[in-house]
Amino acid sequence: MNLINTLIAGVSIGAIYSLIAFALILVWRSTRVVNFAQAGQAAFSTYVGLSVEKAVGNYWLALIAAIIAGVLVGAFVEVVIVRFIVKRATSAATATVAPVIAMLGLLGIFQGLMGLIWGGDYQPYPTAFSRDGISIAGNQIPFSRFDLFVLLTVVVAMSFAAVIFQRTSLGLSMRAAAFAPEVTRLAGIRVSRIRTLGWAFAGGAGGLAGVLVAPTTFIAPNSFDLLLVFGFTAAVIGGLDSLIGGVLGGLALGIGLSVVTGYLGGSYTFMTAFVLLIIILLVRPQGILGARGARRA
Amino acid sequence: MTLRVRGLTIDHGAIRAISNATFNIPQGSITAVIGANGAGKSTLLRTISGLKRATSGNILWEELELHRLQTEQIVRAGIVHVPEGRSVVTELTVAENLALGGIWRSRNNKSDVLAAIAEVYELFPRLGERKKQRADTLSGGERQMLAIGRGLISRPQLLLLDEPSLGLAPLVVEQIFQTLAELQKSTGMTILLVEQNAMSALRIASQGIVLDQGQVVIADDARAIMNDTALRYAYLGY
Repeated sequence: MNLINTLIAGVSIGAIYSLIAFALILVWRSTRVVNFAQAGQAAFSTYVGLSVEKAVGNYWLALIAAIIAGVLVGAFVEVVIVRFIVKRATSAATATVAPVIAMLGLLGIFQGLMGLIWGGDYQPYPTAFSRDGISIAGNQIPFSRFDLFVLLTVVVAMSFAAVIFQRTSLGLSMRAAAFAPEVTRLAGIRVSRIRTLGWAFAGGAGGLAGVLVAPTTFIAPNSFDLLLVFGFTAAVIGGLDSLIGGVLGGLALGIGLSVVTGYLGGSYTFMTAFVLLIIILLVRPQGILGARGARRA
Repeated sequence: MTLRVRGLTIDHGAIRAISNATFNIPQGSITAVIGANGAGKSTLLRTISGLKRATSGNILWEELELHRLQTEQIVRAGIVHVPEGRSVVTELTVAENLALGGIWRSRNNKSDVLAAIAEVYELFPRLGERKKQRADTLSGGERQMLAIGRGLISRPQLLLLDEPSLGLAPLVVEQIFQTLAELQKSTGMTILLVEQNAMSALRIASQGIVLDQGQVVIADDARAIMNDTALRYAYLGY
């Protein structure tokens, strides 16, 4: 029973890693940029949600506000910064390095800005449902109504994304632009607009993830940095190019780290994620699911 | 609609790819641009379709100044480029690759996009048999058919084709060139065909343009170029 409990405890946090992995992969596919600023974008969106919550006292309005803020900030970052950095890159080396440094710098700017607006203290974020474990046949399991809400929300969000990607013209354009931007432009599609949308969707997913994780981690300018590391690890597990791979990677990581925390102790969790990240990059850089060919640089 | 190129110069970094080129592509013609590897043929097409910027000169499509437009706008003006290397999206299926070519006009012309897709399957029946297959499972010839088919879905008035014969078996090349010639006759579209396989291209073309080290050395009737042995020897090597 103990092992089962440990596994269950990792599901809802794993779903949140999936969301962050989804956001990172979406951006990577559309622009070949690893968005380290995602942690800052998500925290910013969550603060917007918290401000709405404080002003009107409605959890659901706050949730929607956070998602909208995430969408707008994502689009803003792409239009105002990323587009120019990618365009100005004159060699393959600068095209790889410049966006990474720029995104790290942007993360710093976001964190400074949030400190100025909302202060640097950890603030609690409300939940919509009880965080006490559900009782089944007299046994309390480490899975609350809020965990269930998190899991269902992520499932709904991912299903929504899957329908858009597989069933709509927009999704087809996004997939084509991710793999062959030049052919896609020649097919008459405004690829730069598709890129902006990719960043916007990713920002929205980050805002949602922030609101879902904030009751656990609390919200501070840098409180999502670890989440970014775990989300990135999940994305790498899935192969960086595969949205499904990233989602499964997030769940696997959440459950795996829960086992580590349960049996070895919390001080091993962070380290394990890094060790895992490095092992995968060394042994299977195409990711667990990325069986088809090598990673595209 | 005539494409008029005036004093076009294109640089590739420090290398001059096209130098002061001037020529016309008349409506309803097939024009073959021929010349050795590195003569600047692909660069010329990439500049017409807006993927690359010219250093100087004009590309005019009636009153439209193509050299100032983005690729997406040039597609909307009726000019579609099928680049070399069987350029399809290998991660998508055959049907998805074709659908891609119609997205930009499917809001207003959905029925015509569907009709265009049906026509492509009729033109290349082997694509119809492989609708649900990913493009990377196709043979080289099928991929080239898919690349051309994707272009046709946009209903081009001017089709820019870059080396459709590259790396294909002679029989497949013959089939593709025949299809192109018939297509031109039935639709009246203009085709600008860049080829290293000069004889195959000239055989279906009405006009030929010979490029040598970025210069237009000859722009003449295709038959005249084919029959001029001295010229063929000097620029085409046989």
